[in-house]
Amino acid sequence: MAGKKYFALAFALMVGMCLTPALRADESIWSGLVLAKTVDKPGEIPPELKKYAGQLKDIFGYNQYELMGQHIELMDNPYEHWLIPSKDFSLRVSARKALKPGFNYHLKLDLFQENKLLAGMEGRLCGQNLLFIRGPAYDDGQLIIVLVVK
Amino acid sequence: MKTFEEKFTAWIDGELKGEELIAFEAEVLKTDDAQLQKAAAFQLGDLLREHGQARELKNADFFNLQIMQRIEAEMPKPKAAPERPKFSWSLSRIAMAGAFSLLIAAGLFHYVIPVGENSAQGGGLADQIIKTQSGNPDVTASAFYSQKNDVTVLWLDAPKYTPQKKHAAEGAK
Repeated sequence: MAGKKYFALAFALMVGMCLTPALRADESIWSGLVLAKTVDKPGEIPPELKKYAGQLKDIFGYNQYELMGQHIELMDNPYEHWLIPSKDFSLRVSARKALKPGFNYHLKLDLFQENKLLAGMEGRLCGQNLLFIRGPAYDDGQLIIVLVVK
Repeated sequence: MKTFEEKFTAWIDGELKGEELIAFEAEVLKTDDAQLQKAAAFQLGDLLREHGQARELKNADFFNLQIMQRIEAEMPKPKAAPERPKFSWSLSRIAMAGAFSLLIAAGLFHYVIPVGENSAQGGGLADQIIKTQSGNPDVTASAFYSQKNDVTVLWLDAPKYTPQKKHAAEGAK
């Protein structure tokens, strides 16, 4: 009888631990299409990018960053898909929980130029790590994609 | 020259003849009980001659087998190794052990193997670019990790996009 109780307790604990990642599904992925330029009088950086301004400037060197489009996706389902449209470029993102230990999400990104697929990419995101994608030169500047787990 | 024992054996066997026999008997039969000894010795000699040879066994192998079995039965047996106690866990106990093992494995998986933000803060894993592809041969890609900024960067080299035509067309309208 006591054995059955212990077994039930162990089973409940095990199930609880297995469900832990699902309970942590309050994470979200923020993604944005950014146009970076070097101008004489740079405007103020959008509040969504303020946190990453230093890193953007250090890596790409431009002094002005405009947000062309953005999306924040709450990762409450094992698979999520979203699209960030903009005037000439759009980004389609498919995300799922990464199977490889140490990574949070497995991403599939498709960058469209007008209606044509320019490049497809696959990658894995760690928690709180940034992923920058430098796109083509565009409108006297540079297209940059930013992805981050929040 | 025969010794006394040799002569005595020959006398018992009735091989002493003539003068030799007379001389030996004269020497041996000096004592009072010599006649009795002589009779006993002759009787023994007759018995040995009659039964001295072993009978030929008809079933020698069976006899040997019996003898060997008797010897083996009388030999002290070597002590057998103590038998191991048999594994006698009940099904529920086995299931419980399995559940606990899984629990420990799950715990190790969740708390020991570095995951997510912990690893990133500890400078462990960075984001990974697995693959890139493009239908445009002019588009190439390379990836690097900036440790200073803790950022993974995918660098696409693509032809500059100038939306002049489209915009010009829109302007003409």
